[in-house]
Amino acid sequence: MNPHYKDSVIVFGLVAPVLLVVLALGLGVHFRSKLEKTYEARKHHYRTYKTVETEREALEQKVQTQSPHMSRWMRLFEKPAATKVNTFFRQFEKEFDSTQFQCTAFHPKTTPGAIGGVSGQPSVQLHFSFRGTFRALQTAVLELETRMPQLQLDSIKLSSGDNRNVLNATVVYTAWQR
Amino acid sequence: MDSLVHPSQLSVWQRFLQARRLHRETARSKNPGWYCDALELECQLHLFLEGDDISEAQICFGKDARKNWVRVKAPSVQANEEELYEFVAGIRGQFQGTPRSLAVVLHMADEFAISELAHANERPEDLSILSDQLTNTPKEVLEDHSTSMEELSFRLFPYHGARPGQLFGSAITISRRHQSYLEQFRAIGESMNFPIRTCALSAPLVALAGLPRLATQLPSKPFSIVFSYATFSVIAFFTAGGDLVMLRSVRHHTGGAPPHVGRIIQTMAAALELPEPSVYVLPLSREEKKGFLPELPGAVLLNWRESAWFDSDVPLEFQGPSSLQGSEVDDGLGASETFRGMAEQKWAIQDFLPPTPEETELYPSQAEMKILRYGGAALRVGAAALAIFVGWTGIRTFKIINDEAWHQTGEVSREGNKVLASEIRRYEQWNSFLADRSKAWVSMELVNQLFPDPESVILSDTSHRVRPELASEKDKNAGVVKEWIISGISTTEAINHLTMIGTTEGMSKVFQNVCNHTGDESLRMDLPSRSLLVNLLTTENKRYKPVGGKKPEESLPHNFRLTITQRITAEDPIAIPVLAAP
Repeated sequence: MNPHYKDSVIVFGLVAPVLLVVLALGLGVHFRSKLEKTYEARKHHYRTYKTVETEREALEQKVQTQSPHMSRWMRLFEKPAATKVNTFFRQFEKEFDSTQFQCTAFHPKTTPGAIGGVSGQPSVQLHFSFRGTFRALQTAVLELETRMPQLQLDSIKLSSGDNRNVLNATVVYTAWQR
Repeated sequence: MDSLVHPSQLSVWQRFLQARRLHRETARSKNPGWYCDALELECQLHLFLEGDDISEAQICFGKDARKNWVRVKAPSVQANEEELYEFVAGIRGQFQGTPRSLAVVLHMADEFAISELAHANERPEDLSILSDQLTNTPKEVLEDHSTSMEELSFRLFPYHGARPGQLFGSAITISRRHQSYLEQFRAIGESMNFPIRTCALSAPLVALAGLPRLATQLPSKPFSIVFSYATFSVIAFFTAGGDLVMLRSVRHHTGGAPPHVGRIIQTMAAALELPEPSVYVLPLSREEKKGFLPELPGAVLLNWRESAWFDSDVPLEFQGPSSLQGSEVDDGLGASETFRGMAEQKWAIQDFLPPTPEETELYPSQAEMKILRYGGAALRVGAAALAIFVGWTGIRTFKIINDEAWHQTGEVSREGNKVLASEIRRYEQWNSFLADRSKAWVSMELVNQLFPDPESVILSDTSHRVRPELASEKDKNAGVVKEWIISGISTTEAINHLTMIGTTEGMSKVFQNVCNHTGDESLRMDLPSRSLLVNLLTTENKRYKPVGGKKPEESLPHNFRLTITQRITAEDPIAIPVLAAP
């Protein structure tokens, strides 16, 4: 090699171009990689956004479907359960002869028990005593339980009265409170 | 091509620019001919310089040892650069497919001198070192220190036949007066961007190298050969084995060879202890004058043209370099150390007038040209790769920034969904709280279904109790245990009926039937989370009076007690939620 040219040719003719290309490509790859990373992050963000949006749509639809039921259920708690039950039986008694149906006792309690006792949901216990025919009693509790689904039967006891056609019933309900 | 500046006067960057200019504007990086020795090139112009001018010019071409020769008009040594340019252009035009390079080989037969080496009786081990010293710093190794390197060129020529104590070699001396002539050829090559490599050979040495091809005409005893030219003769002394013992030059006078050549030979032979050597004369002058040949009684005239190997129309010297190639010269005279040395060390074809170091240093070497070429290629490939990469990245960037996802930078809030999910959970929990878990009217209907014939049974007590069952305090739901206890008196048919349904399977059917009838799902028994236990206890009614019984308890013969237990686990849909609704 010509010693006068050797260093300059190696440095500027080979090393510098190679370094230049490697540097340019390296920078290009670096920025490209950065762009791809940012894009991936934004795509992930976008997918999350879309998922959340889809979830929200589904949830909104579900809530919309459930909303009438919830409204109806919440209306059940507008008045105290004891008052509503008492009102119901007063009305029901008017429809029957006293020999067929009679509410003989009503003891609302403010503390939970039986079914209500195991749950953190507020509840009260309602104790009733009736006298009446089997059909009248069944119709009464059918109408009561249909109108007030918050009533959960804790116990019922039926026994024969003096008259064979008349039964004595003792019923205990747990009434869920809001 | 603009004039070049010696790189020692340039900065590092300017040197690179000059090298790159040569790389781009000349064929130096593409044509290897620029860096080959003249005698290695395929196309060679051989010039025979005798007397005052070129007396013979022939062009040879071909790669084999035997080449094709074409005689051309001889260019004068007095020709200026313009005339030589036209001459070279004419030569290039003569060949089809213009040669890629040209060697100008000057055979100098106009002068020949021998200088004595200092310590010439002590043969060094490595002659190549001495040869380099003689070429570059001749004063250090010559006996005569007054010699001028600017005017003369020296090359070592060893005598392999010399015995210890005799001269092991001499410095062949040629003047540099034709240096500029060869420089002009090289300059023309530069201006034509056409590699012209030059070489100046000593004609007698090249002729000496051709002797093995004349071995059949030579004896197997000591001999001497007189190489006769117009202005001088060279006498070579050989041993019986064909090794050179010494060279001696004899200058001719105006009238030709001096008359005392024979006496010189006898004296030298005696001094070299060569007894009665045969004497041969090899006339090599292109000038056909008889006076040039020395008068030597008993001498044999060698006729090289009789050798089949040589082309008789081409001067012997022109064919000398080629004669050193080939395996056939390894026998006979060619096997001697002298001629093997000429073939291997190329003593006979040393260039006496090579380009000066300044001229050589002006141009980058072949390695640097290759670096520039490969570096340029790497740069182009890199630039192309970069362009492709930039283009590819551009397209990719365009696609990315047009993607909807790229512009989605806002915060993703799950709070709304949490509120909605909370609403749903609230709904589900209330749905669970309000589920048909235990209904009084359904229990009464179950009792009704258990006794399809009311006349066959009198119930004394019927009770139904529902109680929660929490297996663990960590559970989110509590199971439910529902228990019915029915007791009374009945007929035998009713007892039989109770016995029939008083099994788990039988009672399950009754439950399912009531479930279908009332729509109360709590009586479904096809769920794995539910189980049923039935216990029927019957006894004889001791108060029974088949005849005359007036009281109800006296009318039927059997007592019974039916206990039904339905167990619903915490996994059941109607299990009781432990936590309050949100």
